[in-house]
Amino acid sequence: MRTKLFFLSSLTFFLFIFTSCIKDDLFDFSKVEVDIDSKWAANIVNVEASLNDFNIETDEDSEFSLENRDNLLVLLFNTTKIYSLRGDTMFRTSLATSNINLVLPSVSGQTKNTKATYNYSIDTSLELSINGMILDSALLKSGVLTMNIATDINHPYEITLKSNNILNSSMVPLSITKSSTSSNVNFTIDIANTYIIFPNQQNIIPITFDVAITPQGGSLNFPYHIDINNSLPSLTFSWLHGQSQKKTEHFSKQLSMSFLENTASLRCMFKTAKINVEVKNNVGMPLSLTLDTLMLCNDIDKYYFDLQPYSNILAANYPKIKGEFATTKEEFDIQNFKYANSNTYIQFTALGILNNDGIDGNKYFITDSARYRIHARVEVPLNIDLYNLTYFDTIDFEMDSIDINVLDYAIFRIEMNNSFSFGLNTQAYFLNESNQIIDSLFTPSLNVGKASLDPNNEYRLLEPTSSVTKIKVENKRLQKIMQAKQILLKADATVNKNDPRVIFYYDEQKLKIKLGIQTQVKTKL
Amino acid sequence: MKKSLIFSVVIIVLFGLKSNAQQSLSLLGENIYSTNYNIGKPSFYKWHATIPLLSNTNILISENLVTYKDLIIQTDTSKIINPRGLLRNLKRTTSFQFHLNEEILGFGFKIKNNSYLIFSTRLRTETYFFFPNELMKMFIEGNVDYIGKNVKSSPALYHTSYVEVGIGYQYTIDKNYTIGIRPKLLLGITNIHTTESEINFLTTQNWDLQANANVQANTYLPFNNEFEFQSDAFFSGLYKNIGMSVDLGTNIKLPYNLGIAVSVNDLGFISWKSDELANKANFHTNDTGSFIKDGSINFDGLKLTMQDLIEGKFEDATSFFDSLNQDDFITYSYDKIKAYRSSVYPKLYVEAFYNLSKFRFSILSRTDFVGKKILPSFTFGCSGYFGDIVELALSYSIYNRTYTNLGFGFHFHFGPVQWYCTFDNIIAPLIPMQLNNFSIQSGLFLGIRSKENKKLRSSDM
Repeated sequence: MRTKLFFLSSLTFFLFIFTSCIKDDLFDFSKVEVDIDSKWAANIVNVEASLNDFNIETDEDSEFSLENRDNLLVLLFNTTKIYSLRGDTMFRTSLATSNINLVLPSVSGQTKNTKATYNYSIDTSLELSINGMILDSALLKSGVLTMNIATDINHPYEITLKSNNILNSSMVPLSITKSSTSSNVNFTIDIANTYIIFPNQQNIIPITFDVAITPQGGSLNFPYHIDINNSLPSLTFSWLHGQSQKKTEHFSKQLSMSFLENTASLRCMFKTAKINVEVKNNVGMPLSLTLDTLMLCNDIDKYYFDLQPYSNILAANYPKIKGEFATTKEEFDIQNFKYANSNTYIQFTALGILNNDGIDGNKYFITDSARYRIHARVEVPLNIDLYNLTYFDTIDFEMDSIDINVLDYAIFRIEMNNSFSFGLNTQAYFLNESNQIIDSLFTPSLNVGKASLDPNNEYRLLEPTSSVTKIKVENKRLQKIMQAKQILLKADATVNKNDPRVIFYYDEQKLKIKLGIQTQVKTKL
Repeated sequence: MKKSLIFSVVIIVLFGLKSNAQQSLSLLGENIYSTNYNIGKPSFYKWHATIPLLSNTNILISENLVTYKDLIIQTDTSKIINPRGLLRNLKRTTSFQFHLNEEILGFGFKIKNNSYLIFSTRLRTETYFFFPNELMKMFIEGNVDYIGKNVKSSPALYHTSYVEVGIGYQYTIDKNYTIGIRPKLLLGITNIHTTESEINFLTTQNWDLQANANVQANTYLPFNNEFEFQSDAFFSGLYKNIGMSVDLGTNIKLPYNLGIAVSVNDLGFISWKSDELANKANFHTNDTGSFIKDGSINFDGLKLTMQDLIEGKFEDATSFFDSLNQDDFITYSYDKIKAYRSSVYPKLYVEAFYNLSKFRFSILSRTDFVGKKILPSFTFGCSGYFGDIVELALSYSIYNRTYTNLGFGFHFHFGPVQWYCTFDNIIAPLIPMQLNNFSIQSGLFLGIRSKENKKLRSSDM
């Protein structure tokens, strides 16, 4: 019995003790926070830079690109372009004839009869005025031909305007009839997409008026008169065909060879280069360029290289089909020229001559948008002596959303793998809103040696250089960095003056940069 | 007095060890349902019969990852969830377990003097979920301490529910040796069986992150691939999923009041043959996006080219997550399969006991075999008969790697009416801040002792 009592009393005692431990608010989760305390490391940026990345575009308008030719990278520039005037500004057209007076004579050989119909057919013409061109044919682009007719005919009549030299887009000759009983009648003709044939090489368009008078009582008062006022404002053409006078135009322009001038500084000696001056012409006339100046200029190094003999004449091709371009190239070889990416250009001065022989019986065409353009294409094998190469760029650095109070520290890990034949001296600057430097990441700046190349095998890559750097940033410095708005990256090539030759090869030469961050996050969510 | 003192010391020691209990019912020697743990444990009844659905209900809910005390820090103003509190538990296998056992119908009777036959029909559900410990631990601590180490986790879910129809037979030799066998016919109801599970997360020495996952499971659930309940297929399939298993056990009394008992339960399988509901669930990562390679997340920093720098194009972190959010990065499929076989979850019980006066002291080892995982547990228990009316049992168990399991059980003997209730963790509701487990087993059945067992003591069992 005593055992049972002891057992029961012990159990009751412990149940009482445990029950009293439960507090009322034990499961009140109205205010809950999560305590985060963890250490994380990860790469945040992985940059792989190769020269091939500089291929911005490969179409004809690209300014700069790289090509791999037998494993030697070739730098290609398409310089800025010079354009001639457009066809529709070189040749202006308008309606020359503004008034036509016609007389309908009395009937001969028959008695005036109020029940007869009197028919007349009168040939006349319209004349287009155009500067410096005798036309065979044209396709008009826009314009409205208006003919206001005033007459003293006192009976009902019909007037038909006809021309076998004015054809619509379906090649149907013009024929419009108007009936009237009054003294005025108007013709309004939209001449868009209308073909004109000029049969007499005098820019004249033959037209015919057929008039039919049907008397209906009253007297017939011959001769009758018809006055026609013409207007054709805003006349434009799609193309003109005929004989043209000689047209000349002066050009003078610097064809820029700049690239990345805002983010890089490059100065080097190119061993060889080819410069193709290219003329693309879709004016359907003979074109020649009298070259006054064709000179490679580097104002920074005061280096100037004359590419051609004085007053060289470049005869350019011209297209036989409307809308097409004819291309003419002239190649110039140069050696050992100094290049600076921010201020190297080709000085081009020339006189452009269209249809040099003038009106000599030969016929050509010109379209309204026809023009010729000139630019230079520069090919430089990247076999260079490098004097200076600096790359700099800014990256937005928005860390406003991070509560820096939760970061105990940050370790930046920078892994660089360089397979270029020059070393790199790198620094990352933290900039504030005013673009002022508030801190720099590396003290001193980060140096990565040049890669090992094989001079006996066309300087091919033997082994890249790797470098891993860790930088621990704590407390106040971390807070300062986190307030930055931008990071300015600056990398200077460290050039060995004893061995300045640099040859760039496709794919092999890259700079890989991994930027990682490790931090301990302590916060309550 | 001396015995009372020993008993009291045992109670205090068990409490002092933050004790808990496990499978307390197995310590109640008279209870016919202790044969569920060891069919070789001798029955003291002439006959017994269950009251349908009331005789044996057993519910176990257990997890060993989270306790209120580990996870929550109480301050004056708020509660702080401290994930680091889980780190200690994450060092070894953590799991969630749910077991349900309901006897539908059962009876038994003595054959001659040394044999007993038991018929039993039970509804059983056993569920084990294994957490991805290593991965959870890394996400709580961060990956810095894991640089250069592959963090590999294998979360897994095993679940089987079935109806078990068993006929047990036990035979006693010279009152000291009892052996038993219970072949069982199994009718499968639902199943989830993880066949492959691997999640890897590697932070390389260069701080690159790599991760991938591949998880496969066979399932037999009453749903189609749009998780719509398929009643017709489910009910028609109840008799198609046939399985077999067997329980084997023995109980041996040794000299000096010592004894041992050994049993192996649930050694068998179920074939899931209803092809309308048998499916293979597959979850794995694929090659998509710029940060995925060979089916792995391969994050070595946001990719920038020189041209991006020139043109001022900078990716932000969302591009990485966009890459992961692509629908085809994670492939989940749920495809029909014709049939598959899954094992039920065998358990090995080994017990050593010592009879002292009217008390019986036991050390019981239980080992669950689930998939490729082994879950050991240990129970220290003491039982005794008081006044030939009630048998009491007290236990302390270490199971599912929890150490606060103090169990208690009683079995009242009112003539032919037997009423019992056991808790494997009786103090759990009273210490919710350290609550891991909850287990109760209770029931009411009819049983008449045989003549030679009219007066029982625990030391007789």
